[in-house]
Amino acid sequence: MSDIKERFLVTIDNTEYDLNLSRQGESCFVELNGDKYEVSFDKLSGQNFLFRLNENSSEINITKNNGTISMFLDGSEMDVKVEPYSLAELRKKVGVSSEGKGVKIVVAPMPGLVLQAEVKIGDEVKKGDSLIIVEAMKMENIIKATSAGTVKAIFVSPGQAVDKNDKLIEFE
Amino acid sequence: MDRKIKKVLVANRGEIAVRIIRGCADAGIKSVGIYSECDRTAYHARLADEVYYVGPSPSIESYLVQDKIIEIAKKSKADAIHPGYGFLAENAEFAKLCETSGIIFIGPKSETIALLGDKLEARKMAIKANLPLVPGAEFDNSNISEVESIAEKIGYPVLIKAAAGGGGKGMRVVEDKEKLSESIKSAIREATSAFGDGRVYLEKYVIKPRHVEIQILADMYGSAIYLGERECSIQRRHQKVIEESPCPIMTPELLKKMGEAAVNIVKESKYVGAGTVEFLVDKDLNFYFLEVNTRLQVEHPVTEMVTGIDIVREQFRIAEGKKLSFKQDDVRQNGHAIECRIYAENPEQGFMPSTGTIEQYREPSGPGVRVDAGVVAGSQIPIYYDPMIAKMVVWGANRTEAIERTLRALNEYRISGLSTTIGFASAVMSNKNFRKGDYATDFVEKEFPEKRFSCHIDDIKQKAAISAAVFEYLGRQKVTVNSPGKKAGNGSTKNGWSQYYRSRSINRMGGSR
Repeated sequence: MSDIKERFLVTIDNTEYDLNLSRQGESCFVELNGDKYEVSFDKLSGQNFLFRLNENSSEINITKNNGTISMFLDGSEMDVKVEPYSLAELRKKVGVSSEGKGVKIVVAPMPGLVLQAEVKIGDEVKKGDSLIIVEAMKMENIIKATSAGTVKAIFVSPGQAVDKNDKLIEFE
Repeated sequence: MDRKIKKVLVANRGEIAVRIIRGCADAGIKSVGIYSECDRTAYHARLADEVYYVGPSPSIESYLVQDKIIEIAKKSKADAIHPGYGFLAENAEFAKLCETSGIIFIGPKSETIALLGDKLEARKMAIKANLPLVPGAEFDNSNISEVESIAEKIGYPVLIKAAAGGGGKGMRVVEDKEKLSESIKSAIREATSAFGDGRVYLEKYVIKPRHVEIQILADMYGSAIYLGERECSIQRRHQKVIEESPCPIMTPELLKKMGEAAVNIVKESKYVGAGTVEFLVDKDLNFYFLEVNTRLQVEHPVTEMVTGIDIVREQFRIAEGKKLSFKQDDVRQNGHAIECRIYAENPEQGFMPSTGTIEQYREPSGPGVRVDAGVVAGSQIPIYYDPMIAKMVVWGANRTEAIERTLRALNEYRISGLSTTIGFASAVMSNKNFRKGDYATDFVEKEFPEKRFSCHIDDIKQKAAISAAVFEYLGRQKVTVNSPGKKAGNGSTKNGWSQYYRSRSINRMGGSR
């Protein structure tokens, strides 16, 4: 049986993992930081899988969307980016950040009702400033600026219902 | 006075509706459920003996519409309404409407709810019943400049509380004058939205108190007893997340003093039914009256686990006009119970609500584990209501055993599709100071300043990285293997993963044609 090797770069939050994968017959192997693991995937139902890492089993729920994988594992929710290593290297050489420079567009972190905007177009905000108050589940959630910037556009108005990832504010 | 209850309308949703429907069935009583538009397939709407549509999804158009609920009660010939907690549970007007409609309201009389539900009136009642109060508390309504001088007088930090409040809604801690008016405005907005009553007041913010409450039961004939205490100091947003009984610092002397104080205010206010008297306890074991909750509390199962008393069943008995069937001396606290509230929230992002569909759901089981849940696999978590989806309550012979068992059960609990507080609860159970019983209401901020609640997050991340790479690798290989011009027959097509990809590509093809 052929042994197709592939190298991947995986990014979770800001941590990078350099992994080498290979298959030998029925078995799949991963090398990370000099350690070698035998792994397997079995489908449970829908998007739920049983993932085996050596002798340890975990249930994983995996959803793929636009190049990232969102997964639930051991009670944690994670967004994971997987790239072939060569591509990641090329991307880094060219200097294209996968994340972009600063946050230009602020999106709703959850569905809810816009109560009020704390800023107006042209306002300069600092990191941590309140931008918009969204009510969800009877609670007020203050959406704060994650970086400094000038408000270019506000896409919502008080009383408006928003879905998760709907655009709220754009910075210049 | 004695009137047998045969059918109860459960005027609520979620886990508490499920709890009460179960209580009805256990007591041989028929249950009537109500559901809003988005709760059409909710678990409580599947369990009740009869169900009726109550209105559109926003609670103001459904679970809060008093006339509609009374109409359903009459139509379904229910003799009683159990309001659960939240929604209409502490609404005196609704209790009154039940009384005038000839329907038993399972809770105290409307006058009692009005009196104790108004926190300002409740404080007066507590003074009459000789209960110690939080020092330096004063009150006001909306005049900002007046509030500022009152806050100055009390001394910062002050606590803004909603007069009609509960569950931490409309509550804000204010450290200094600059933030006072903004916080008051926001508290008024939140209180108006949650309770339809925007009155707020100020209290001295007692630093590092423990929140300890006494469960009481009182019948129509003036008898009242207490069922021990619950320790509720593990909070976020001033809202309880983990409760236990007994309280780790409780002494028999203190329990007797607090229990008797609770019984005093209950008797003074002519209370009937199940209720909770909340206190703050400082590090020197001084206690201060906080409020009386005139309803069944979220955390009531903790008391049920240690006393063996079914509080919902007792509510039915009291509402039927029966005398309390046991005396204070009959109440025993056996072992230790811990409740973890499971919220659809992301603890790492400041406990932000997380909505969506529960993709996978499996409850823990085994010795000493009870789960009161309002959801099942496939349930949607709507944006309109409280994000609590379940409560996991665990009993152990002693506190250490209860903690170990809680950890075990949390490990078994599987919810995917949205973020929950399961990992957070495990982090609390593993925390050194929690295990010592050494904690107060500032626990979450103090012990987890970085909001990192998973003790093994680096291990989990590494595992996630490996699994994601494998998932991608197997996916790419499969595509390669099946592509024309490439060598066929490579790798295995037998494992579950390959079949998943095949079924996906078949689905895709089917869908595009």
